[in-house]
Amino acid sequence: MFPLQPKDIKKIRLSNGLTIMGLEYHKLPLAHITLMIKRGAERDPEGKEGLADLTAEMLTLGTEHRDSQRLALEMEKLGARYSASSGWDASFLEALGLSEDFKALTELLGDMLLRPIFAQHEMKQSQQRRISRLIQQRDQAEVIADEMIVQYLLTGTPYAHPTYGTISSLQEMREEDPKSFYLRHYCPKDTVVLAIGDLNFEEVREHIKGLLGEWKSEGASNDPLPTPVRPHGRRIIVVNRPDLTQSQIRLGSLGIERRDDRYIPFKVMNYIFGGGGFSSRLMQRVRAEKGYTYGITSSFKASHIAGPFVISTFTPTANTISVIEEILKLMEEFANGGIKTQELEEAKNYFIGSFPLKLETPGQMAREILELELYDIPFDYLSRYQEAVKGVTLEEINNLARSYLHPEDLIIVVVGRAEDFLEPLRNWGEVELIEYSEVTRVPPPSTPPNTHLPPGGHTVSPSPGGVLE
Amino acid sequence: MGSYKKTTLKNGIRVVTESVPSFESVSLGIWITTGSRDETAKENGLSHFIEHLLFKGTEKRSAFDISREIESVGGSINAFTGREYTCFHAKVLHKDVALAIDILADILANPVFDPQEIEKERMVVLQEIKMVEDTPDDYIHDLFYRSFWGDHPLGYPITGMEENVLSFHREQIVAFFRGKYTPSKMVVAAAGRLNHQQLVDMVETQLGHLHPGPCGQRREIAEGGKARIKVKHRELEQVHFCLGTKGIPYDHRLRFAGHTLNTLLGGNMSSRLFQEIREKRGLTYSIYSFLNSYADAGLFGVYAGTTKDELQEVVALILQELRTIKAGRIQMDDLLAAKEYLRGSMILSLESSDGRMSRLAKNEIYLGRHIPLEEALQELEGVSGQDIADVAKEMLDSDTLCLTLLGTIEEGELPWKGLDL
Repeated sequence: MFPLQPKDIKKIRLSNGLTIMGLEYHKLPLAHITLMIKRGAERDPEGKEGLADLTAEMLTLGTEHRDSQRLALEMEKLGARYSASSGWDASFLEALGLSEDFKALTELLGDMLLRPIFAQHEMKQSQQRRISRLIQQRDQAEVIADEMIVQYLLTGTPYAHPTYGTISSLQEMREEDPKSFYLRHYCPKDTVVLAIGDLNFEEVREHIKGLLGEWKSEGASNDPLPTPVRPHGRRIIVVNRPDLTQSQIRLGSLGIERRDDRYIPFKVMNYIFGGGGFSSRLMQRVRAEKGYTYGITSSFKASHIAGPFVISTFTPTANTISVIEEILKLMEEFANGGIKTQELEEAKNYFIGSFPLKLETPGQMAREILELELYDIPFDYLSRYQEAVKGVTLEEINNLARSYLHPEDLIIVVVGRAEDFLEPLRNWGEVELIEYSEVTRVPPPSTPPNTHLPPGGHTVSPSPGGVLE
Repeated sequence: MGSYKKTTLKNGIRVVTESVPSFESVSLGIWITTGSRDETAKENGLSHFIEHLLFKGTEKRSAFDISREIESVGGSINAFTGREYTCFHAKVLHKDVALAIDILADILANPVFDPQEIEKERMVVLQEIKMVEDTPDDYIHDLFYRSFWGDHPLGYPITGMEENVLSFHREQIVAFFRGKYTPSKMVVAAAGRLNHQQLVDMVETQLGHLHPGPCGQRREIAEGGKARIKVKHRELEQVHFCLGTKGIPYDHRLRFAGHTLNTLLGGNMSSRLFQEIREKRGLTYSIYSFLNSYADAGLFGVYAGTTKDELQEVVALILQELRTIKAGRIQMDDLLAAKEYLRGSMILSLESSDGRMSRLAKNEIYLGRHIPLEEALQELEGVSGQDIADVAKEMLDSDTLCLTLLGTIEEGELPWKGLDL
């Protein structure tokens, strides 16, 4: 029944250390190609947060043979999509196109990877686009809430900042920074090329070998990553923005590392608590029963370190206290009362049934395979997954709930009109009050900004409206 | 590719399917040709509200059962409301198609509209309205529609006005539902690993007993688009705006040319607007064009977000690009690249069953027939420079040129009295 078999994933390593992986998928005439560099935004130098992502974009903004416009035009002439970005633990350069164009697509990607020129004017424009995007985002309370909860939870680690950086860190970037990052971190031994599509792996291997087999670069060694500290006690941060009619609410602690053996049980626990769409406990209580919110969810991010485990919602200002109260109550009920067998069975059925649905397209398969490769998890995870889900026990979930859902040990962030909920919030712990303008203040640049250069980030493509069916 | 089949049940429900045996999944949608356009001013928001309420319980399932049953087989269920249709959809493994049909049909055939649930969902919908209003790059589109179409129902916000949502009562909701969610307005579309006849039998069992309801769509002809400039003041970092003219209806003979024009103007990263305004001059972070087509009308527009200081320059540059295209001065290279891009998009959209299901339904609703991909690609291939010039002439019309702005700006501060192409 399951379409993706580990044995079908081919993998070889070239003498320069580069890994080539392939999965033949002949159902549609498509090719999905990803170049993954196993170093991401956690390698941003202090004070230059966002550099990994900017560097990834710079690959698409001009090579020794093609300027940025020519790259865009050549890709679009192939009817292909492409993007470059950095997340936690890895950077990506990827393209999706027709399999008949595989060679042309990989030649373009190879050109970007090996021969970027880091043109000064492109760098300045990108820097300015990114700053403008962040200025624009300052209007969005949900973005501020998301950033703050992560910042407070992961403080002291290189994961505490947004991967796209901050206004001040972007202002600090210098022309030579992306190139330095590239030379330091982009190297064949930490690079994986994955091609999925209507392709022949032998041909893929030979073609990639021809393009990237001679790439030589050692790359610097990676420093070990510090471990984040789980919150003890409650810390409440209120960001005051008097014009808001709704409060953005986040309650967070730490989850687990991706390589943790309890990863699958943790997913199941999170599903039952708040990750599972309409039937999760949070959704049923806070939206369906109380009607307090349009949406509430819990999610966790597992990477090389234990990432955030966060409950996110929003509600009209007047409901702020009631919503937090309900969430704390639910956490307590969940941790102390445990879950029902039926809930567990339904959650397990969801993960078993949805697994093939989430691996339907080449892009979805690529994400799953690359995640396993990145965290050094054997590919037989894919064939063991459904059995592993079946094997999750009530006891495991209840133990996880007791270990990870502590209403007393939380970071709570509320962005909203503080005067309406500040006093009652103080009943739950000490409150740090910050003005919205302080959080979103644009620091004065250390050098005069180029005022006529672009806003934005190239990894975001335009969103054309209207669909040709 | 897949194989297409269509069956019309006795009560008028159209069942259209595309069987793709290599897929594991089936995407299934029940589309009703009722949307915000079919509301009066006082009803505005009802179809969206009903979309929410249908998930709040049926005679045999509670709200919880609806989501739990589908999620417990790993599937998903959801819905969306548009201006001319509402779609209730599910995606499941092929073995669970019967369950998906059972649930989707149940919520449409047997909703209870429980008064307590109505009250709770009213609060949820009010929050959704606020959420849109708090997102400037979404909200500007609602404002633009309102400004472009004036009082015509195509200009209504899909989520409705807050005061309307507060006023809806059960009898009104039930009457609207009974009158407008009938078999004659239903299209059941499915794509993936399925058997057409089995699916038809399931739909017949679940929905075949429903009374057909009134045929045809009584809709006020859309004549929107009188040139106007509107400003909504709000303290924001950027000025968000939409600048647009009339578009073309869904079934227009030059629809492929219309979409090609949209692509080369502002549909991708090598498009003229993206390159000239964002990449070369860096005046915006986000800029794109859109062509939204409806049964008898359409809307073509450009969205951008920029600073107040650079607003005048950005608008002038967009107008300049529009004039260039209107004058027929397009490069053959640009035309070919745009067509290749669209060709790629159309093929790439086949990779999931969802995209195929949506394409089936929209072609049935607007064109009354299936358009095989090969036929669509052939039509696209045939788009000429002359077609682009013809469609540009038809769409880019000064008499319908509208500009709507949202940001820290007042009407009196605008540098223009009127605009033209």
